Amino acid sequence: MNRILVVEDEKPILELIRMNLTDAGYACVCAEDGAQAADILESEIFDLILLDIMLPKINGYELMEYIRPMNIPVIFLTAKSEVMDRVRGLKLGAEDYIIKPFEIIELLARIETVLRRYNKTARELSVYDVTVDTFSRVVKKAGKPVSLTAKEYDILLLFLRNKNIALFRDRIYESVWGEMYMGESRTVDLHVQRMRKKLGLESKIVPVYKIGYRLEVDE
Amino acid sequence: MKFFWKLFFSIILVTEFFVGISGYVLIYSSFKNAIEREIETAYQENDMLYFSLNQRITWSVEMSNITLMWGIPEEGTENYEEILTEAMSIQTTDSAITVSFSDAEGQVICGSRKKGFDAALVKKLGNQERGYEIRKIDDDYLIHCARYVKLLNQEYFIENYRDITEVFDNQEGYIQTFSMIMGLLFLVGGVVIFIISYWLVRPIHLLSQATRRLAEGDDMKPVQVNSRDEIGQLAEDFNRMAGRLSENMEALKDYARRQEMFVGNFDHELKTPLTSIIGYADMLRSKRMTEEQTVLLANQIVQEGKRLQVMSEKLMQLTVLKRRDFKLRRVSAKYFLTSVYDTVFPAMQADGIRFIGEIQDGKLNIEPDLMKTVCINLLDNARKAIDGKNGQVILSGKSIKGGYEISVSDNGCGIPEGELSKITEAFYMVDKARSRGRGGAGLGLAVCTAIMEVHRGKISFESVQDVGTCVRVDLVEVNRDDTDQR
Repeated sequence: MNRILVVEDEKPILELIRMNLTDAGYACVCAEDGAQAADILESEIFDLILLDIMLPKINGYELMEYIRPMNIPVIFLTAKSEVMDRVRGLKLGAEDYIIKPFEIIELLARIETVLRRYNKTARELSVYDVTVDTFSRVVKKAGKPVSLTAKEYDILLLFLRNKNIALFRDRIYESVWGEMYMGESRTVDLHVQRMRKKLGLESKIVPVYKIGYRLEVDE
Repeated sequence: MKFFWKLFFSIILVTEFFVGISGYVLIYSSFKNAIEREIETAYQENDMLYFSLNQRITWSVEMSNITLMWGIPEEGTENYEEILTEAMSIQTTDSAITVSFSDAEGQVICGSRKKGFDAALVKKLGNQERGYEIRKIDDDYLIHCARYVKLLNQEYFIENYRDITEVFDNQEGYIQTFSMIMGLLFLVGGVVIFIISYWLVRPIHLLSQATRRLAEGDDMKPVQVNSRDEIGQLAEDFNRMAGRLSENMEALKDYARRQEMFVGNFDHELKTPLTSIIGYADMLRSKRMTEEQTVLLANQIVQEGKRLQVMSEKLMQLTVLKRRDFKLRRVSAKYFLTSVYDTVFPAMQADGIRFIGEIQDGKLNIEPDLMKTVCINLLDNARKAIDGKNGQVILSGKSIKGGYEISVSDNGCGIPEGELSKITEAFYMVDKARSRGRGGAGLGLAVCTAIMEVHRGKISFESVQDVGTCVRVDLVEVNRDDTDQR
């Protein structure tokens, strides 16, 4: 289980991130200002830090200087959308930045990407009797390899990483095909349906009315 | 051409021109005088010749008459000529003066003309006239002078000469000296004029440099010009202008900086609740939730939405305050502050705070709704600053010299010293978590400051951390009942 430190002074946002990260299977520790974050960092080890820039006491940039020698990847959370602010953050050694307001799925995707870059993600993802080796890209159903196309594999990973979250068709399309979703298209449905059929997940990946699909997992 | 060179050359030209002209006039007039004097002398010599000749001839005639009387035969004209020649020879023997004697046609009868002279002068002259000409013979200048005379019923001209080379030599000498003086004047005067021009133009040069610096937007340094003339005046005016300009520029820069900060803060303040709203709404639409969770999330959305609403209202107030003209009215201080007290009292009581009103009567010249906003904002801040028991807020109003003072003091958490200057900035919050928790948008004091500007009043803060805060609002007495503000 990856441990993530969230530093954010806005309580509602902090709570929002904590809830979603916990749901996504991360261990989450929260800090409300820079000083508290520094204290926590002294005694605990994390795989990733989500860091707000405008913080009381010690701001994000300053805290970044403190974190850098620890070799912990940092994603900046910022309401500042100016290029210079982003460049400054990245130059200080941040792995990525997320501009507020953000969508949960985007946050999770970025966290996932950064963790993967640091080889900190679990090599194996699984749901029910389906397991995926993300390194060798081998998908097994009850121990037997199942062959998926590249797009089907990507869609499966997306569902595995966003359990219990309704994935909108445009979201799926944009993240797997990398293009803007242009309205009425059956492409997504076609791929999702074929993928869940191959893996026997018809009853688990359920359509959400008018929206898309959701992988349902009982906790 | 640069002004410096214009000045330089015009001074040089004018100086040289006038010195030249006056020198020329001087030399010329002295020359003319000298020549005239020489001519006069020549005439005098001529006259002397004539008189002595005349005398001599008269004497000779008398003698010849006597001779005639003694029987000497008449010899006619030749005889006269002889007498003349004789007379002439007497005149010329011991003198260097060349004298000649010619008839009406210019024919030399006796004596001789000087080399290079002819009968032209004599021919020009009529009866009873005298005249002169000046000729240059080799290197010498000579006056040739002729005079009509009637001797023994015959018409003659006596011609004589006078050497005036010296006058011409002197003239040349003067001109040479004068040219040297002119040259010297050009050199020395040039240097002096150069220095003077430089000295005159330097302030202008400095001013021009300063103007250029100003145009390039560099830091304005005042121009150092010590003269008290027009240029000094100009420099002073320029300095004043530059001062005002840089003040204005600073103010503009400051305004732009504040504006930028405002927009930046606004962006941040807008995005923060939006992040929560979008995030929680996103959770609601994409996750399966228990009913309890749903209510919790929806509540968060409502809270954040309210925050946006408060912010938008305050912003609206700020914008309106900056634009509209407000009419101030005279109201009774007691009546006004009592109504404020009554409005806030329930909230204070609910928080268990002792709320004291110490109100003196007086006249206020205010826009009551706006001033009420100020008072309620300040009292609200006081209320929020207090946590725990024994809270006390005092609303006091008293007449002071030239106005009225409203003050709000509390015994709450106070404001750290370093933050005091920033608290009136829009969106600034001393303690974000605390302020948010109590529904603040960070705009209250910005609104108060703007309202005080409308009233031309003053708002001042005094605070000691953990002891309390006192805010004073000073309203100036305005005598005119109906004063247009802003």
